[in-house]
Amino acid sequence: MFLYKLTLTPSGRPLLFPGEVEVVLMEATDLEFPSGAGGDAANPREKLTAGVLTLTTARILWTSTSAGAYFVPLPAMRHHEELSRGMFRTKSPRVRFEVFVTPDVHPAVQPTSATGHVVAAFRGRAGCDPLVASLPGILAQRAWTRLPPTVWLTSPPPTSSTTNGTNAVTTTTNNSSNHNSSTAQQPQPPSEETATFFRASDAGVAGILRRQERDSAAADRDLSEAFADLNALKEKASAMVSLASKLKAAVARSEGGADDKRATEDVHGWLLSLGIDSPVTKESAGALYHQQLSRQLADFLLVPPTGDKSSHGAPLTAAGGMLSLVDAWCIYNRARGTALVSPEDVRKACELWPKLGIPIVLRTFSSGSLAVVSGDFDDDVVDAKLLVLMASDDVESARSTRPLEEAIRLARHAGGLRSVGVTEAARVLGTSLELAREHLLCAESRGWLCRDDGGSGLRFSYNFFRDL
Amino acid sequence: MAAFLYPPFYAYPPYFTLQPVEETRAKQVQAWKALIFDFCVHHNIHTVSADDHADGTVDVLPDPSSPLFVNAAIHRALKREAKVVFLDALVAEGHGEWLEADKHRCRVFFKTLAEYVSDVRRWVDENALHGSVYTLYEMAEATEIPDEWKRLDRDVLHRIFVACQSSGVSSVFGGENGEDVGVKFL
Repeated sequence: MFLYKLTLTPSGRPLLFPGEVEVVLMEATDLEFPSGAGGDAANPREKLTAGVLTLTTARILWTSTSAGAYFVPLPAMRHHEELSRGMFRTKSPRVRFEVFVTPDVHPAVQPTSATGHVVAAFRGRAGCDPLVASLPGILAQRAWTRLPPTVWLTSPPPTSSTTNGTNAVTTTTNNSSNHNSSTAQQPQPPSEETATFFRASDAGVAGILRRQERDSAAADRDLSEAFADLNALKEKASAMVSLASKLKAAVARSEGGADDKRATEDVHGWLLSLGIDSPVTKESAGALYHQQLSRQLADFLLVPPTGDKSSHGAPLTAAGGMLSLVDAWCIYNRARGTALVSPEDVRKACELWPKLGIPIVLRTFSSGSLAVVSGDFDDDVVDAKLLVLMASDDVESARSTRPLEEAIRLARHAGGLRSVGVTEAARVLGTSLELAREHLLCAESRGWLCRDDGGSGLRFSYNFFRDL
Repeated sequence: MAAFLYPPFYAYPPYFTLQPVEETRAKQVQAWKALIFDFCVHHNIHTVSADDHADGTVDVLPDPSSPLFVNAAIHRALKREAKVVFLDALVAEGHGEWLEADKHRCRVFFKTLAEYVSDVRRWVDENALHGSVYTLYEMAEATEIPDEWKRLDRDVLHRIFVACQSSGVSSVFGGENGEDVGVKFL
């Protein structure tokens, strides 16, 4: 067996390893198994048809809506060649991969010398050229060696053998590079993982100081190189992201002091929005661009960043289920870093959600402004909060969720003399002014509120007209 | 005369903003229509202006301290647009009539014109006044005229008899200004 089962995100995009980047996406690709049935062990298949093949820096992924999702790890790749298309070039372009057959789910640990073949047939317009052009470079970069070895495991390794496992990976990657004549053979510089191992010279206070000095020197180097020019910035992007996550961890540690809690929260929020490792770009996704963008945007908005245990969570959840499209676009682009997307593309991606069965909708308000609304967003909850706010100036009470009927009763009981402006509503709902305004207008159009357009701007009260 | 009793919602600021939501506005129009009517009946006012005036915005105010379209206590006043909407509703149910095509002043009828016409017909029949002639001045003074009509403005009386003429109850003759106008009951 050479294929491993691939985990998908809720919106149907492949779940990438931390640090793994998508390089090329190719639609209408079939997988064939000339040396016997392939697929996963539980469900062997002769052939897998009409899927999307994705080359990442660590794997070749194959996803389809009907036949499942699989991957071939690049470290298990022994050789690849483009097959002849026949005398009259009538056959679709095909690439044959020779892959080490590994008995284990942990491909990097125990490769055997036995190999098998997977043939990818490209029926799309671009043929196999994009893949053939990028694959040698990706294999030469050996980016997978920088991934933590645990990513290859479907279940966490037994705790007792952790150190053995790490050693095993280092040795096997060396072994496989010896086996593999087609990839460039470069001596690997000691990775950052090994640099952070404990050394005797790091012991004691002086050691800690030395280590901190070393870390800050490295960070300085990253920063100065990053800003040297734009190309360097792109190369350094992943280093910047990891620096950002370190800062984030530092912030998380220092939390607890009440005075600077706000400041740390702000920094936290900014940092959190750094860090989509593999942004979908027009170059990598081609014709699938908007669809892939749509899935990634949905993941970004709904799925909290992995390993992040803070209360912030996913942007859309943190915003209470609704974000204005402009805000969503900004946060998303900040997270993408350098590969920015245009507002038009994001809008198109949003409009694809219903088609892709993703539980987020793009809502157009009567004023024409657009917002991204999660499927489980309940207007009644917001209406209830606003109604309670109309009843009293107790902000804490208004923030709590309660049934709409109770809120109406409270508001009616309080009369209708208290009025609320957009700013106050935004503070209670925890949304932007623009959205708070839309919420108020919606509640008004549903008949819960009425407006007062007096001298001090637009204000809203409980709709006492209902009870006349 | 007892002071006019404003409805409780007269103190609510949103009452003075034209509500954009249809259902809410329907309730608001209903409430305002009733208030304008009651106010005019109470103060015996026959003409209401929809224009924005610095003062109480009602042309004839018996008591400037009790205005109709303004609540000084909460610093709210109806805008012309809203007043036109509410007076339009009054006109639609027959209790009002715009004096100008571009809706500056509205004449308020305490009964609909049809009700007045049938009142006049019944009165003429009951008192056997067929063929008799009255001037508008006499209508306001003569003892046999019901008090209800004496309270009415001359212009409104004139308007009622014009309506009677078109339904064949009376004929109106004479000049444009009230003193010279005569009515002959048929």
